[in-house]
Amino acid sequence: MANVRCLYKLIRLQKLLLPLNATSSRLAPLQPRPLTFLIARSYGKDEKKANLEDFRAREEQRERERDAADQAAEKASQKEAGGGGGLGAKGSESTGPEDDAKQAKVDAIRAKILDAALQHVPQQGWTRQAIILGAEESGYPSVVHGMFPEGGFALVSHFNGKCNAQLVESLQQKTDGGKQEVEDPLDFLVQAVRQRLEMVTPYKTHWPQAMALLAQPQHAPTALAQVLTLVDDICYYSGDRSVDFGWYTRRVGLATIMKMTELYFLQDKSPGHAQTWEFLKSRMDEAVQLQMMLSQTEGMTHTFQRSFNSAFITARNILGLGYNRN
Amino acid sequence: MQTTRSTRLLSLARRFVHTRTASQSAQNSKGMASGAESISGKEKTTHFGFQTVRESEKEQKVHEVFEQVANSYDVMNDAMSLGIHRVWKDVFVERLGPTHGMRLLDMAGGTGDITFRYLRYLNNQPNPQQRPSHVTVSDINQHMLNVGEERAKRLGLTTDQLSNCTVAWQCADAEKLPFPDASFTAYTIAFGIRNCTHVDKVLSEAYRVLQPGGRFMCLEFSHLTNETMQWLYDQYSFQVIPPMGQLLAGQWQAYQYLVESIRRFPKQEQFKQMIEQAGFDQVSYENLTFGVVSIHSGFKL
Repeated sequence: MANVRCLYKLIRLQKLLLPLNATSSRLAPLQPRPLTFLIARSYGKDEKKANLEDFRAREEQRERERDAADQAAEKASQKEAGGGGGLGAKGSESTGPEDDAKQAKVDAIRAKILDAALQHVPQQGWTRQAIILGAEESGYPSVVHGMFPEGGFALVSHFNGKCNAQLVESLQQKTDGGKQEVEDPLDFLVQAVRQRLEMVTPYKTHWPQAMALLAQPQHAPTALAQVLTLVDDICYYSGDRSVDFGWYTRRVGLATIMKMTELYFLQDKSPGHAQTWEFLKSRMDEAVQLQMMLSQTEGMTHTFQRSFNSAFITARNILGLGYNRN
Repeated sequence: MQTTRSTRLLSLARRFVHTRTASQSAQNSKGMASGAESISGKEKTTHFGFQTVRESEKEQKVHEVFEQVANSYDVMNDAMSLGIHRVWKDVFVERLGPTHGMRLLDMAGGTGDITFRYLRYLNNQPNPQQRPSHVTVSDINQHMLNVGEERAKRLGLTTDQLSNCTVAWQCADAEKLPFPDASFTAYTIAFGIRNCTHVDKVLSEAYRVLQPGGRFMCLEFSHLTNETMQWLYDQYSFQVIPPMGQLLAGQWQAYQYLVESIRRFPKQEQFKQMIEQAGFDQVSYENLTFGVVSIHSGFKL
């Protein structure tokens, strides 16, 4: 049922040129900041805004109703099942604010341990040992490292998440929360990527290890989702309000350039990583040229674009599903 | 369909087993049968394998079982699990990831399987700061502890022979631990919690003796996720294990109890909820060998 509903919605959203079906009821609770806000802003200046806002409000209202109905149905079925197994019923009743508070507490402790562990990364690398030292420093016994069964990757993704949040915050300040227009978007992108890479500098000696961890197949969904949300944020604050296919090319292009620069950065021994920033600038210029060429030959590449478009939506939905942005 | 068939098979197996029970040694079958028949309405009852017994009786019965099997326990474990129990225990200790400076309570650790792995794991790790570690092996049954202590001496894993680790052997009831609050950083119980009368009491005692940040880990037989595999497993459990127990250890009853108690133990999800109710956070479980055993883990935060 849910799938049919998603599909139906997807078709409707496509008609309105939405880049993602992020508002589908399944995704909504996983993504605290639905990507549709991009659209609302993109039409911000003309009268279409009102229509779109109406549409959104209507859709959200419908979704709430559906969710409420789903929950009611779930509760009813639980009551039926709960008659026999006393324990099961008890367990499901306790969900809600209490569980959220518990989860928040656990998350806070996890973050505290990982923050403390980051200080040991320059000596220990992105390893379980660093987590153990961090745990002991924050007053927990070493066995608490079992909370991070993925070992060093937990540390890497925590670090990436923290840096991304930091970057977004500074971008928000620069652009007044996305309201203020950026004068030179290209320079803004270069600066953002540079700022993000500079955060890695203290850990540069062990960064190849972190990149290896990120590249492992079992970690790919989290790693990719982190990169995609990062480039999405950067593009958004750089003033990209596009709703056409350029939305994708810009983000994928930026992600590629970021990763290329990251690799170059590892080998760069120039003072202040001057060569890295030069490399970054020239890759950006190339990307702009490529994009111009593509837009000039739009008719020829149309079919290719469409197939790529659908492939990207599928991939993003698969990756985005399990990933909690925060 | 599948479920009804497997239930029928199970009851068949049970009937088969009960006829066998009658032909077993008179003393044993008398004791157990009377437990099943003469249940008074007043006292709370619990399960002992597929039988229902008074709560006060279960401990004694379990005690008897393990007293009988203590000496052949390790041989039988190898025979019944085809040696896989060693892998399970290795994985279990690997998941625990012992580090120097740890204080472990190895509950129901009887013959020392978990403790010896823990000690070897620590020995293989560098210890530049010479931090002392500790392990207390506890079991309700002194016979099992005796076997374990003997093995420790033979393997050279006693306090005197280890450089930075102390080992203590103590007879204790998991429901009433004789240890002060917050005295351990990890609590493991491998193939033991199933035999306890009040699992909730065991869990709350574990919570009590652990330090904040301490970890509770439990290795226990569990329920298979696949129906076909479950059928195969049932066949093996009810048709092969008790006769094997009779042949190798001279104990039909004890191994009959073993397979029955496995079926009575809560499923993975339910046991996870029980651990959460005891106050543990971030509770998770991992199935090994299709769920024949599972590792439950929780943290006191």
